[in-house]
Amino acid sequence: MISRAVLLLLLPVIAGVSLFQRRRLSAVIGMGLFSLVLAATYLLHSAPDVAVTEAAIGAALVTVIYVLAIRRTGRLLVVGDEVPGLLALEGGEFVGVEVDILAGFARRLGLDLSIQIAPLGDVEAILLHSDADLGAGGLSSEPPARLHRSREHLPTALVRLRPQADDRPTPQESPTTDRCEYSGYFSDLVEAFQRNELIETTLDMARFLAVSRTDISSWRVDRLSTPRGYAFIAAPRRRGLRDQLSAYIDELERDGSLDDMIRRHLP
Amino acid sequence: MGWLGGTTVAMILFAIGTTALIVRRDLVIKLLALGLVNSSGILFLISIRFQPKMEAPILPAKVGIPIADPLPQALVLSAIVINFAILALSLVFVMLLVERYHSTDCARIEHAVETEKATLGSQNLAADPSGADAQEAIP
Amino acid sequence: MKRIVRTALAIALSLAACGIVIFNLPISEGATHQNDMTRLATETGAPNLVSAIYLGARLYDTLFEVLVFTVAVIGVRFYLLRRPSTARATPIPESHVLQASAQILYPLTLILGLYLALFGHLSPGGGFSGGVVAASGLLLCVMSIGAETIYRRLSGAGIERLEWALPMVIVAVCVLPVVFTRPILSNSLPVGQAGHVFGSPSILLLNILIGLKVLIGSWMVLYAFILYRGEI
Repeated sequence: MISRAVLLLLLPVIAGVSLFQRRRLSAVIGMGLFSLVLAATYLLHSAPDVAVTEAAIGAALVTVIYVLAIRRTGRLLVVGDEVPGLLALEGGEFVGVEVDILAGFARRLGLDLSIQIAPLGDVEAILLHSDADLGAGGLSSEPPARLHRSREHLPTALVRLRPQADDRPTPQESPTTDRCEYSGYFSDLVEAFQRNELIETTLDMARFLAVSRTDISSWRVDRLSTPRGYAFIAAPRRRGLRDQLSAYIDELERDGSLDDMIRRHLP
Repeated sequence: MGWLGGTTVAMILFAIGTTALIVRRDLVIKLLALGLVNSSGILFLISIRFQPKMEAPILPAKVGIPIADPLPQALVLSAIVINFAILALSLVFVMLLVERYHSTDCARIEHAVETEKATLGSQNLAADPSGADAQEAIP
Repeated sequence: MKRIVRTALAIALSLAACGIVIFNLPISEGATHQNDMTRLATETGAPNLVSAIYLGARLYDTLFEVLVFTVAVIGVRFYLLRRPSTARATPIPESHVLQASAQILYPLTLILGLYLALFGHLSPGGGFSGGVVAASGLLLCVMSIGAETIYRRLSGAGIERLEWALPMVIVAVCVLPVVFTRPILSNSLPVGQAGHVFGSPSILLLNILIGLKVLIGSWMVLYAFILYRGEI
């Protein structure tokens, strides 16, 4: 008697709380819980057949179908490495020029922006093999053929760092040095610099600016000549996304917001 | 029945369900609210003839204790399973809509559909001016 | 302000609609007479009165509900399986805990579904309950083994043919006795003693058929969703 009353009182509470949630997933799981409590209520109302059926359908099948249906609805998945000024994590939030561009783009498309940090060397592999949509984080070199490169939004250059003791002449651009490449995450690279552990590396301007905040007097800096630009890379089947992104960057450039963003994040 | 019976709670659940159906703008939550309205109807049907000390409608039953009415339970049992199938079908339509318009917000989808219709209408008119003139000539 | 007014109006209207309906319903108090129930049980041979009703007395309701289920499943498959037939379900890595626990649980759930369907006329259960519980058992299978493997094994065993054969068999079983001017099946097959497994063969047969139908339909729906959206 008491248990029946408790369950009956619990039902509207669960339903009300779960239907007015912000996230869809919370609502779906709340309604799954509601189905379970409802099945117990049916049992206490002397309806065991209905209770078993409601439990199996409401808690198992319906919840699974909803979870499958709301998966990946409206999400723009971006992978990239951290680069201060372009894509950086500060206090739990992403800030930077590329973050602003991507956020506006996602809002234009009506999607949620979701950024994941990954090492620079892995970004292309991730784009090819998983369901990420865009690659970001200061990418300045040509991607492999199956990936699509968007319009450039910021010019940059490559810089080669060598220990001061190295006396070889300034290296020309060659296939081995024309990419910004390092292993692991950018924050690891900065730490290695602070501990003076690095041999020789090629960096682009934004990363170089971040690194140069530490003491690099023991390094020789050579600027490689060819100008480059930062751009986004789109996954293999996302050529339409790449075109839309390029059009969006064109718009931003035309009405001057791009320059505002650059000035705001990269003084 | 007393004020705290399955019927009253079913009424409250119905109200919550229809309110969420009207107020929330997300299509998936609208479907969840519709499912809640379904469940409230089922709870109502089952708790109409309920008395506090009843047994399940399965014989052999103890003598002297009333048995719950099996008829509403029988009506409702297959309805629950059918609801699942129909929910799956409506979720398919929601997924197709999301694939096309990239949003589950019903206001945004309506707006997108209207702009599509407007551009389609102006395209038809622009591509076929002689057709429009011919139509105007025939009242 | 407008939102609050709209919400309050929605709540008030729905409560009012419910109240009007509920407080004017001609509901008769009092439980069903025990004699009627005993007679229903012995006539159909099923102590589970709910099964006796929806598979005995109101068989045609159930028949059409099964048809509605079939049409809904056909609709889901039609709209979701427009990919080429070489499409594979993309697996999404999940936690090992889920996989291990699903491996232990799925035989139990499948057997529970079988029991509910077979003994549905003796204890709570029946075709619908057994079918959906077995479908959730199949879902646990998918979580532990993988959707592609299950799909290959089931398709190899000819589940596609069963999917269109079963509704025809169910319709035949329900309608043919009437066509041949005999009473419906549950009145024509011999009724053993109530409480025995083979006490009412017609209800047993219908439970098995409906259980299989619900299981296969739910599997089709789930597999279509998995193919469209990736695995759980």
